[in-house]
Amino acid sequence: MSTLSQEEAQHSLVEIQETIARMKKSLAAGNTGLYLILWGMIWIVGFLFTQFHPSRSGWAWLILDSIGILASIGIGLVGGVTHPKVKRPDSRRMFWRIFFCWFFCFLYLDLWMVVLWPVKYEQAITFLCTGIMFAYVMFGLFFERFMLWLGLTVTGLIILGYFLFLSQIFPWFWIWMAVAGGGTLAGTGIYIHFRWK
Amino acid sequence: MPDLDPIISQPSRLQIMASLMALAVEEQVDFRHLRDLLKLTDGNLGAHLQKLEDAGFIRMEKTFVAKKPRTYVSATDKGRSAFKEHVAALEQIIQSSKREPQNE
Repeated sequence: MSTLSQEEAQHSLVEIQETIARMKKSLAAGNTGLYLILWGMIWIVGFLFTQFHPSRSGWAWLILDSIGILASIGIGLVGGVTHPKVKRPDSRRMFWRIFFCWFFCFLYLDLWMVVLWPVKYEQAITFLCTGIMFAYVMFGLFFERFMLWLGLTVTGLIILGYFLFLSQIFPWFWIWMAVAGGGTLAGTGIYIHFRWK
Repeated sequence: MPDLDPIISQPSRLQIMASLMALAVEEQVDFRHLRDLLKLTDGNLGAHLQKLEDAGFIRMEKTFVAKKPRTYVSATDKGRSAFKEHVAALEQIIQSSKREPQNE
């Protein structure tokens, strides 16, 4: 058995707390960084396409969203079920729960769009994107706190852009969505993925 | 002054136990994630984990994922208790040192 001085004991406790915090942070990041990078890039490409090729943006979004959904399922399966950093007895159940959370989120958003139609294209996109950010906020309340702040920040940026950049003087709404919305998502994802290890 | 368990009080092993305490009881962490988090080599981490397992403080599960061996680590109930006792002992050392000037 051994003993320590007061300074050594204090230092040891600080190291313990830092190690626990580091582990929790690395687990909180999980695959979230990859998801944010993926969807951030999709928003950037999609909204820039909408700005410069509006007539073909529908097809672009269909292709981009399909890629995003398939890649998200792949990330979730590999990172959460087959090659997880942390194994849980209910990994598969959690994967399907999260999958269906998003499925029903999009289903309801589309349903509300049908009920509210006709709306302007910019209103529809603002509604859908803030709806997705609402899901981020909910996820953040129950799981990872940083998702709450990310969801609120991007929501604020979207609403700011909606009222600021839809005029004839500043017709830059789609560029704003690409840079502020997509850029914030991708930038946050990059920071989390490479710094929260 | 309380005596400290030499198995747990070794700095690297203490960090290993602290990392495992961040997990829920039913969770296991991948050996490689633990290695990267604590910045240890495979051999170094492996040796410390073996000591902890021999003491009954951790459990290691060796499995195969896509035909590649993977090791998952978790703290046992004994390990969690030992870690909490160690933290309590450290706090007692600090509290005792703060009281000593008043007793002089």
